[in-house]
Formats: sequence, C-alpha cells, structure tokens
Amino acid sequence: MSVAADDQKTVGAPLTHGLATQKPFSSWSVFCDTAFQQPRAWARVAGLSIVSAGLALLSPWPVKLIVDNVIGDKPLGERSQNLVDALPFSGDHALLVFLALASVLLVFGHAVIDASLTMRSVRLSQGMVFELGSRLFAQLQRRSLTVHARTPVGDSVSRITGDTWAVDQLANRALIGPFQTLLIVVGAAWALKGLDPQLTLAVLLIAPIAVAASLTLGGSVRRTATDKRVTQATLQSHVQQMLSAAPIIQGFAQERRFSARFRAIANESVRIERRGVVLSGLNELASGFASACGLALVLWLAAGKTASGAMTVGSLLVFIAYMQIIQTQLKSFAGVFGAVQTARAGLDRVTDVLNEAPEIADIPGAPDIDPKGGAVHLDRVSVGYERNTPVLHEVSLALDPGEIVAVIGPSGAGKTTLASLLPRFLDPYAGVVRLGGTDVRQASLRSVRRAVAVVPQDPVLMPVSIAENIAYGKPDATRDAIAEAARLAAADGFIDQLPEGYETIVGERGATLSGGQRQRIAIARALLTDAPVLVFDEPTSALDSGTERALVEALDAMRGQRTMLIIAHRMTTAAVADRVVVLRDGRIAGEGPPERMLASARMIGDADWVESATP
Amino acid sequence: MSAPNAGDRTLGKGDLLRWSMRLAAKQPATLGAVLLATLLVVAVELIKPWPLKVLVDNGISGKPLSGAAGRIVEALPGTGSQDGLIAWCAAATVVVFVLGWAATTVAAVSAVALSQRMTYALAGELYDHLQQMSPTERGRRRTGDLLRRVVGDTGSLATIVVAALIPALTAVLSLGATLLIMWRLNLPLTLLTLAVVPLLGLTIWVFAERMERTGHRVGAAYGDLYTTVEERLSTVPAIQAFAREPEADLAVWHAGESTLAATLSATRAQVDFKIVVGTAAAIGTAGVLLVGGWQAMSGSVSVGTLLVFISYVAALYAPLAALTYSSAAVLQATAGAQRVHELLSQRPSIVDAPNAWPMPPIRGDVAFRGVTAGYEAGVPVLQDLDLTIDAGELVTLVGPSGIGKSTLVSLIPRFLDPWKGSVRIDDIDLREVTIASLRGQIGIVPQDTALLPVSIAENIAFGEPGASDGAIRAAARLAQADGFIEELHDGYRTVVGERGATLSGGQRQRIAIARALLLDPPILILDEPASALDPETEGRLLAALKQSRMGKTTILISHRPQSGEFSGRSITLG
Repeated sequence: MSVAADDQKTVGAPLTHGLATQKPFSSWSVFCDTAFQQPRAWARVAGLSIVSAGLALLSPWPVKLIVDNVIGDKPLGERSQNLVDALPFSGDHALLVFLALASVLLVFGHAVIDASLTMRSVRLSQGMVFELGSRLFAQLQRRSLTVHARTPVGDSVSRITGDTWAVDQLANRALIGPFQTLLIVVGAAWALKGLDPQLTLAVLLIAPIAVAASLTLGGSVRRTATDKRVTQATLQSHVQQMLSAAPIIQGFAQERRFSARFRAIANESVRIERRGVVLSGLNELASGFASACGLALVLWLAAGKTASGAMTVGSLLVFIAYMQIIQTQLKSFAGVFGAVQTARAGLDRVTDVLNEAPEIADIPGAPDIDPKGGAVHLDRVSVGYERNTPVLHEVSLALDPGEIVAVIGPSGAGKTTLASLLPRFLDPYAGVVRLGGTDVRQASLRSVRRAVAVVPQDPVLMPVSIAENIAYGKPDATRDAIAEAARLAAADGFIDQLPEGYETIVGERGATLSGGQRQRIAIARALLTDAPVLVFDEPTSALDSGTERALVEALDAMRGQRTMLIIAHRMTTAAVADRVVVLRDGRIAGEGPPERMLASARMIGDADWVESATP
Repeated sequence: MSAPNAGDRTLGKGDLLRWSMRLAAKQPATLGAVLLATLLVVAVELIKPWPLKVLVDNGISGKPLSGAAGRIVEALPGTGSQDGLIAWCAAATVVVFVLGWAATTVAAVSAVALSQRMTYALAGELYDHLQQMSPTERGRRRTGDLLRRVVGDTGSLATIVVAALIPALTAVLSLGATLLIMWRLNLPLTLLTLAVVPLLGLTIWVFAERMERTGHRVGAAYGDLYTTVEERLSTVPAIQAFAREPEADLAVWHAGESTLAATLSATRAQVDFKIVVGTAAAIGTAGVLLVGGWQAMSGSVSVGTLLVFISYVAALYAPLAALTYSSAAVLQATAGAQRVHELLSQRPSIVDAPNAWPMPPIRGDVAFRGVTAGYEAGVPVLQDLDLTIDAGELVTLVGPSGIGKSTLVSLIPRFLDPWKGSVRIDDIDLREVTIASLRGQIGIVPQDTALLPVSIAENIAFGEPGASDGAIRAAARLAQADGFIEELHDGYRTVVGERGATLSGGQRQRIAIARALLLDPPILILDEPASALDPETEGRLLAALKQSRMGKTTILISHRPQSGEFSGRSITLG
C-alpha cells in the first residue's frame, strides 16, 4: 500500500480524471465513482454482513433450548433430537453443558466475524474519504491564482478534511447499515415463521411503522443540518478574517467589536446544534415509540399464548430477543434520513469544486515546451479578471532571447496582469502568448512554468528553511549554488547575520522577515532555477537604494544569458533594461531605450522619475 | 494555565482531566442536567429486565407474587388475574422503553449542549487571547494553524468530558448498582460472575495501553494531515510558479495513507478488545446458564430470576469495556488539547499594566529614550536609540531596508515594547497607560494593508463604524482613492475580495490610507504608504497629506529619499 510507485500511479489517476471530464458531476455520481472503485471490498463487506446477521439470529437459541428442554420438560423437535442423539453423551445435564458451550462459541464466532467486518468497512469507507480528499486537493491546488486568491484557505481545508467525510457517512449510514437491517428483518422472519406465523407477521409490521414515524420529522432535521453548516462556515470565516486583519483590529482598537461578533455567532451555533439534537431525539423517539408499542403487542399476544400452553416460554424468549435485535437495527435506521441530508450538504461542497472547469489546465497529451533560448511573444493579447472588463487591450510585445525589457506605468495600468501571462497564471481572452514560438496553451503547464521563473510582488515563502526556500524551484541545488544565488540577490548579508543562517525556518508568509528580505529570498529563488525567462514584478519596491543598486548590477551582469521582464516604477531599476515599455490604461503607450524614455519622462515634467533616474 | 512557560511542558493525562473538568464546571446548569439524565439512564437500564421476569415467573406460570416488588405490583388494579398481570407487564415494557428513550435523549441533548458550550467558551478565550498577542508573536504562526486551533482543537476538551468522563461515571454507577442487585438476588451466581472479573481486569489492563497508544497515533495523524493540507494550500502561488504540484499531491496522499493506517491500527485494537471481552462475557454468561440451569432444574431458582441474571451479566461487561474506551478517548483528544494549551499558555508579551490608566487626549510629542528593541532574543534591531518628534511635526524616516524603520514606529502603538529604555508620548511612558486608550488615538497605515471582505465604505470606516458617508468620501479623496472607487460597479458599496484580492496593490494601499485618515488621529504613522503607487499618484497623495495633517504629528516611512522633501524633517536611520 505504501510502495512509492503505486502511490505515484494512484495519485495521478484522479487528476487526469478531474481535469479531463467536461460534463458536470452530480453529488451522487461523485459518491458512486469514489465508492465503486473497489467492488471486491464491497462484496466482502456484504458477505461478512450476511454471516454476522446469521450468527446474531442464532444467539438466542441456546437459552430457548435450556428453558424449554432442559429446565422445562418439553421434548426436543425431531431435527434437534437427531442432532443431540449424534452427540457422544446424553441426559439433561450433558445437554446443558453442551448448550452453554455452544453459546460461548456462538458469541466468539460472532465477535470474530464482526471484528473482520468492522476492519473491512473502516478500510473501505475511510479509504474512500482520503481518496476523495486527495482528488479534491489536487483540483484545489491547481485552481487559477485569481480564484485561489478569492477563497479563504480555511474554507478549502475544511472541504478537504471535513466535507469529504460525507462519503463515509453515506457508505455506512445509507448503504451498509440499511443492508444489515434488511438482512436481520428477513432472517428473523424466516427463523420465526416456524415458531408462530401469526406473531411473526405482527413483528414484521413494526418495521414499516417505525420507518414511517421517523420520516415525519425528516424535513426539519434536514433544514437544521443546512443551518448548522452555514453557521459553522460563518464562524470559521469570521475567525479567519480576524486572524488576517488582526494587526488592523489592534491598531484601530476594535477587539471588543470582534469578540462580540464571535460570541454572537457561537451562541447561534449552540442554539442550532441543540435544536438539531432535540429534533433527531424526537425523531428517534417517534420511531422508538412505534416499535415499543409493537413490542408490547407481541409480548401481550405471546404471553397469552404461552399461558394457555400454545407456545413455550423459550419461544417467547426467542421472540423477545429478535424484537430487540430488530429494534436496535431500526434505531440506527431512524437517523438515516438526517444523516443522508447532512452528508448531501458536505458532498455538494465537494462536488462544487470538482465541477469547476479548471480555467488553466493542460490539453490532453500536451507536449513539453521548447523555450528556444527564451523568446517571448505577446500577440494582440486582451485579458482581465472579470468578464467584459479587460485589463489589457490588444497588447503586443516581443522579447528576444536574452533581452531585458522593463515595463513602467501608473498603478492599475495592468503591469502585474501582463507579468502573469508569461507563466500562464492567466489565459488571454483574445490573442496568443508564445514562448519559443509555441502557444503556451498548447504545451504542458509544468514545462511552461519551469521555463519561466517569477518574483511576485508579494512573495510567498514556504514554512521551511531559507536554504530550502531558495532551492524551491531546484530542489537538488548544491549549498554553494544556493549561497551564490543569495549573493546575487543581495540576500547573503542578512542571511549570514541570522543566528541559524541558511537553516533559519521562515514563519507564516515570511512574517519574521522584513518585506525587503522576503523579496530578496524570492529573487534568489528565481535566479537559482534554470528558467530561460525571468519575470520580476516590482523586485525593488521594498528595497533601499543601496540594495537596489547591488541587485540591478547583478541583473546587469547576467545580461544576454536570460530573457527578463521587469515591472518597475523606479527609473533606477528600469535603467538596466535594453528597452522600456510604458503601459497606460491597459495599452502600450510607448517604448524605446531607457535614455529616450527617461527624456520623455522629463518632457512630461515627471520630476520624480527624472530625479530617481539621475545617477 | 497561568505558568508562563507551561507551554513547553507536555500535558499529562491528569492535567487534561483536571482542565476539562474545570471547563465543565463553568457550565453548572448544563453539567447538572447531563448528570441527572445519566442517572436516569442507569436506573432505567436496571429496571429493564424486570417486567419480563414478572411475566415469565408470575404471568405465565401463575406463581403468586412475592417480595417487596411483588407487593407493589399487587397494589395495582387488575394484577390479580393472570391476563391482567400479562397486560400490565406488556404495558410496563412500553413505559420502561419510553422512559429509557426519553432519558437517553435528554442525556444526549444536554451532553451536546455541554460540549458546545464548553467548546465555544474555550474558543472564545483563545480568540481573545489571539487578539491580544502582538503582531510579532502571531506572525510566527500560520493563519491556518491558528484557525484550526480556534475552530477545531478547542473541541478536544469537551470530547474528554462527553466521550470519556461521563461514560466512565455512568459505567462505575451501573457497575455498582448492578452488582448490588445481583448480590441480593442470588449470591452463588453473583460470585460466579465475579470470578471472571479478575480475568477481565487483566485483559483491560493489557488492552488499555494498546488502545491509548493507537488512539494517540490517530490524533497525531489527523494533525499531520491537516497541517500538510493547510500548509500546501497556503503556499499555492509558489507551488504553481515552480510547478511543484506533484510533490504536494504526494505529500497529501501520504498523510492520508498514514491517517488511514493509524485509524486501522486503532480499530484493530478495539475489535481485538471486543473479541476478548465479548468472549469473556460469554463465558460468564455460560457459567450462569450452567449453574443457574442446574438450580432451576432443582427448582431453587425461578426461570425469571435466571433471565434477569443473564441480562445483568451482559450489562456488567459493557461498563467495563466503556471504561477502557474512555481512556483511549482521552488520549485521542490529547493532541488537540495540547495545541490549545500551548497557545493559551503563551502569554501575550504586551498587556495592560495592573494599574494602567487611560491615556489622556494626545498632543503629539513622541520621544524615544535609549531604546533597544527587537524580535528575537539576542538580535536587537534598534540599539540605544534617542529620538524626539515634536507635536505637530511632519517627519520622514528613511534608511536602508532592514535597518529598523518599521520596528521603530511599531513601538508607538505598542505593537512592540522596548527591551531597554522607554517610549513616551506627551512625556508619558506608554507602558503606564491602557493599550486601548493609546491605540484609539493613533492612526496606522501598515506596510501589509489587510482589508476585510466587506464593502469599501465599511473598510474605510473600520476604526469608526458610525462614520457618515460624507466623512468616508472626504477621507477617500484625501487618500487619492475616490477616483478609482467611483469607477467601480458599486462604488463605495463594492465588496472587496478576501484580503482585498480583487483590488490592485496600489488601490489597497490607498484604502488603508483613507481608513487611517478618517479618524483624523493626533498621531498618524504611514509605513511605506506609496510603495505600490506610481510617482504621479504618490506626489498628489503626499501633497494632500501635507495639507490635511498641518499641526498634527505625522510620521512617514519611506525608502525613497525624495519622499523626504515633502516633510519638515527627514530622519535617516542607520
């Protein structure tokens, strides 16, 4: 089960499945897909359930025989007598010993079968949970970054670790449980009909009455289940909000307002939870009361028959024992509708994600890209985040292999959007992005992203050591290569000053590091890769002018080796470029060598640019 | 809970039990209801076999009633005739059944109420605790991890009470009562039953260790799974950028596999235990059948009494098993409880002094006297710093990255306390006043501009929820934000995405500036407010700031020297 090759195969399977399917899944088909990948396991569970039901139904018989035939003086039935005659001993006392032994063996056998049944059904149903969870995770981590940025991480985590349990619920409560109930009811009917057909009919009547009674309250249970999910989600996202806004809450002294809101949601949650338990308690009581009345009826009829000698005390005991077995089964059946509804709510949340058409995905059989030294072409590209609101309008831009191009322009002009096109974080509405002459949509996503290394505006660092962070894009890099990348990114100085140097573990989103330090680690991370194309989104926004100069010199020294696209709003950074492109309102407003662009900036009287560009 | 370094220490089983009991005791009414309902459940369980005994011994065979119970039954109308007695027994079965069901339901409802109340009370405590922690302390932890401790792990303590302590109490009660009644009914049979008890005790002792171990493994495995998923999802942008998805898939798959393996080993321990205990119980029952059957044949015991005994013997083993399960439940909840405890015992480093008084209205003099401060022990960021800013002054702090500009300003609203020296406003040491009264008078625009997923207007009015539309717009105009806000579909009513994801970096920054300007605070701190703005917008913003902040203390951090020119004074750190 844990052979690496097997894992690889099994991990891969759900992915292609999730990505290639176009037709939306229904929640039930998601369940069935997950459930029936293992028909053999289901067959084993079914087989064991049959044996277990048989043993459960046999268990009251030794007591019956003891009461009727050992303590009482009823003769044994013909078949039982034949069996007893075959034993190597005779007499009431010997029979008593034999029956006592038989009862022990029955219980032991039943326990062993049940143990095996439990193990197999746990493996089956929880295996389904983790299988679905992996599939969901695979889909979630491949979501486009635009969608990802809008979804709280906590929500995605709760879908993977919480909602996937719906398949376990459904397997146990909706399939295995009712199947076992059916077995017990049918088996009991068959076993009892020989004792007293009339009473057997009375016993069997209880089942439909109890089920009907439990249905009456089903609707309210369902509504409560939905309410419960909603408040839980509200609570979770409230806490998440508080955690991400905590510095502001403290800064503006709004803690009380947030605490009060948390407690209001928590109280609401308690209220709904309680209502849910009261309702399902009533639900169980309704079906329980129905079966208790049935039991009393049977008891009354049977006792009458026994008193008049039409039935033995032992048979009465078997009837009572069977009634109790059936009642226990029906009790677990009573919550089925609520459980299915609750599971449905969870399964819907899973299915919603699985149904998302992945915005950015490989076409089937996409080949790896050949970046051909890093030539980049944007051909009349229009793109945006909301339908009908393009951020870039028919932008065309070509970068020759080894060329350094800087993009400048006012905030909101679409510079970051432009940068997101190269690693295919976004696909254009119209137009084509080419890398080495190939449309990036025709190549495998993995090969495109390996060919383009990005330093984002707000770099995300992993909660691992600084060395591992720098080597994230090239895990097999040597320590020397890592240190060299850090040196080029002007990060070696502060890393060496940390008590644990390169082994320092980075906190959440690199919080123990300053913005500029985070940025430099991200730059080192990109420089260490073999990617022929580098994209920097404002790489120096958090750096002081000294550090900026060192970094710009490092980029200058690499001139000609890699294609670079640098988003900048400082002329000192842009000055390193072979060519500067000005972006305004999503359109290219001009381009040329840095000196000329500097001159035109002077012409339009933009003092800030002029000064910052003057050495 | 109150020892400062208690977090380093692993919680023992005893600590966990005491802690969970303390939390339960804070909900006396609900706890009382749970205990009462539990007693009722135990009582009903004990009565359950008796209607059948009376039915078999007296109803069917027609033997006269005897004993104290017999006299009570005789007092009921219609029990004289055999038919009447049978009808009464049938009715009693229904009554006992309904009583049992009602008691179970009340017990379940009150147990859920107890567990929910306990959980939310603890979650509320943790929530407030997190709000008190300084940004540095919180920054060392991942948001997802903290979230899980508040909404997930806080349930562990209630689990200990509801899944372990109450079942254990029920078990002890019903064991005692059952044995007492058995003793009164038939001494030899009771002794026979008890003969199995040492054997059972040995089994439980052997299995308890295995169940605890596997239970703990399950708790830890789920923790790992959750962490794996949460860590990977928090870093998706980097994973995608470097095409490392397959490794992440594999990591989640492995975590799932080991969780399943842990669950199966715990299940294995439980079912093995069930087999052994079930078989031991069956041997006991067989012994009772054998000896009781012998006695019944000689007539010294009635069939009904024998039946009562058999059902009591079965009922005797269930509580013993429950005791074993509950110790495993405690261990399974340990991992979660430990995570809550670890966080709670990390005392916030910045709290109100016991005798803190409210900060009077601020004039705006800020003074740093010999301040040494930092985040990691032994790595000071600022050393022996002296700096005075006069009321109404407009200063710019410049200097290379990492020199401590942000650290310096975070001392003013006490996000950080100096290790040595003092920070004073209007010549009052900040550690002498209440934090709320201090922060209420300081406006901050942090480097990382967190926005809430509510409307832009609500975001701007964050510090003053009742602010008028006019005030909100005026603040937005000053922050150079009104232009782009008006262009959005819903203007000021536009809801920004999670952490402001639907806005550009520069737009988020300007909303954060408007948020601080709305308060018109006597001290305003802007930490690189224009890093994502183009020079043109930045220039307009600085001019607007200069005018509106006339006469009020304003501190601007910038790493661009030219920004300094707008202010009265430029202070260079480093």
